[in-house]
Amino acid sequence: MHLERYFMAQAVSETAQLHRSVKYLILDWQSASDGSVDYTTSVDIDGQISMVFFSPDSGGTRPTDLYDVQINDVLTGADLLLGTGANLYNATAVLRIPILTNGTQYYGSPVFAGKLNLVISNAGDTKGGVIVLYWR
Amino acid sequence: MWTVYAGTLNAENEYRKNSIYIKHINITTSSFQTFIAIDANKLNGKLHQVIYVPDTPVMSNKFDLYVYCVPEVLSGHFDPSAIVAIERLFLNLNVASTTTNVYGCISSYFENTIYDGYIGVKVVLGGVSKKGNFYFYYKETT
Repeated sequence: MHLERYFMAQAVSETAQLHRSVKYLILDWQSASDGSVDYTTSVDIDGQISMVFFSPDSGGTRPTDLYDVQINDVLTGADLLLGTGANLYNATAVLRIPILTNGTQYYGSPVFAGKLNLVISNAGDTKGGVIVLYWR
Repeated sequence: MWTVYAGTLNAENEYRKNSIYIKHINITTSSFQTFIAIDANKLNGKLHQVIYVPDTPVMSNKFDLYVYCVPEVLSGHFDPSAIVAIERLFLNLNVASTTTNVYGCISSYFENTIYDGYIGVKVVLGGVSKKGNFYFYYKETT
């Protein structure tokens, strides 16, 4: 018997609203066979993160529970979500506000400039969801 | 351009994208495990955050990073040994040296912080002749 394994490629579409005081970028993602996404945005954006919305697909493309998302600054590789995209639930949408802190003081959300790198892991084979990044 | 008082500045770069201005330095610590430098260009906007990116040989774990605003009246006759007396914008003790991380700055929080000056950086207990990258993210005030 001849077996073949087909590698399902990742897919991401992006929609941006850049002309209002609060801007947003919608990333509609589908993971590859290994449960990952590694995608650099086409838009070149800058500002300070306001909040990030994560909505997993339902039904057959519902991601594996506790999947992980990073949105990295391309220049430095730093995770602008500050770890708040780790271990996301697959049944409910969540809103996260990454806040810079040294444990005792709070300094607001990170700023960024340039393209962003979306990295998803542990999402399962060909699963999906939507991420909306809001910033000012 | 930076004026270096301890350690070595290996490279510096600047990036700008609309309201965000980024300064990058790659440094090597001195034989006394320190790096001290003052930016020769006047501060442009609020210093919002610092991103540390490891280099090799990696700096000692839990090194201390201080960032200061050096008032313009002190520039040109600044004594780096007195840097602790200058307004401190940023303090992060025990920086995890092997991982890239974003660190917040007090000037991003206080709307009335005075920015008329120059940025000074001090690394303490970084190890001898160790390297690291620091990216300073400024957000211009509107």
